[in-house]
Amino acid sequence: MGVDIKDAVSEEFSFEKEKAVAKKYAQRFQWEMILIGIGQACVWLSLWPLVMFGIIPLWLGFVVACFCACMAYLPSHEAQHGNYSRGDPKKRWIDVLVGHITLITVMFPYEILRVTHMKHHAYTNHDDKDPDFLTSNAKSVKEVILLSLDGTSTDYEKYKEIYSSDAAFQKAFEKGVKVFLTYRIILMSLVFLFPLQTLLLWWLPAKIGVVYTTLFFSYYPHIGTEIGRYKNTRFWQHWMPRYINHSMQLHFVHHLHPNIGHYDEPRAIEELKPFLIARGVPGAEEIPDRITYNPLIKI
Amino acid sequence: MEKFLETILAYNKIWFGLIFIGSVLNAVSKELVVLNQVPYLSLISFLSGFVIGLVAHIRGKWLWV
Repeated sequence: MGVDIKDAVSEEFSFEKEKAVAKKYAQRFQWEMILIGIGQACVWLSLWPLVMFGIIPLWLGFVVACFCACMAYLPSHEAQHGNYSRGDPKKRWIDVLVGHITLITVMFPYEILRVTHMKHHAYTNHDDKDPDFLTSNAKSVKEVILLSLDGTSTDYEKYKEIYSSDAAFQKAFEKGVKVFLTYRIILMSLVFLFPLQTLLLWWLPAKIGVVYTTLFFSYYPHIGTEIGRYKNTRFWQHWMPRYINHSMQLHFVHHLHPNIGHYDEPRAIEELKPFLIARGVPGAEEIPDRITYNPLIKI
Repeated sequence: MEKFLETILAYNKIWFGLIFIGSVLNAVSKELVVLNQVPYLSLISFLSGFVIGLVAHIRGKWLWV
């Protein structure tokens, strides 16, 4: 499985040297990501009284809620990797707090996403072990959208069974199920009392946010990729400026070094480019020398 | 308690259809003037939600994926 890290390339591009470069960009405290996570959740929560008291119309609340839902996953994703605490047990609470709060908008339990995401990193593109396999190996955008809307993009029960011998996975999963049930109870209570508001401020924006996240985090970065550390995620470009898809063109560097802060990835890739080419990362030859402030558009 | 929860969750699509879709259909139908004269509007809305949920439960998914 994968590439032999020690023998695949010359000493000049050794894994140790690559890791040392990556480490430089995996130190900074990511305050802006915390601001986005907590901020979007607060904006989303404030929509309820604003709409209920007629201060803003429901359609405007829907538009803002959709925007919040699209911004919701990334701060939690950093938390899933412990990128706020950076190994400091005293700061672990920041991971947990941001991870949970930012996901309220999309109604997802942090613990379940955390453990399944770790398995996605460990087994990327393995058809039986990668929880994201269905969407990252989907045949078309339409299929990803339908899977996400249907709620079957990840068969959580299946992966609970596959990892039944992993005690930490099971424990986190059980915690997540409780959060999921709480979300369901709140949703059902709210829809009974405020049906249209619940539909347009929470349920539909959450669905749109999940489609957006699945498409850009799971589908596009893994199209046509294989199994293996340097082969399972690619550099890609299309008509969309990277600023509106969370720079997921650069997702490959996250798979190589998950501790690099999201907003530090462009500078890290600029420095790591020779390593990426030497390792044969899909699309690495096309990576521009300058990525910072580059929208990475290709028409 | 766990057994009770498991039983409820086993029919989660039906509950979702009845409560969520039913409530939304009920609210939308009340907003539509053309449906104002229709009798048992709420009953029809919740019944429709229940049937949608039941079909999804039998099929195992909501959409034609």
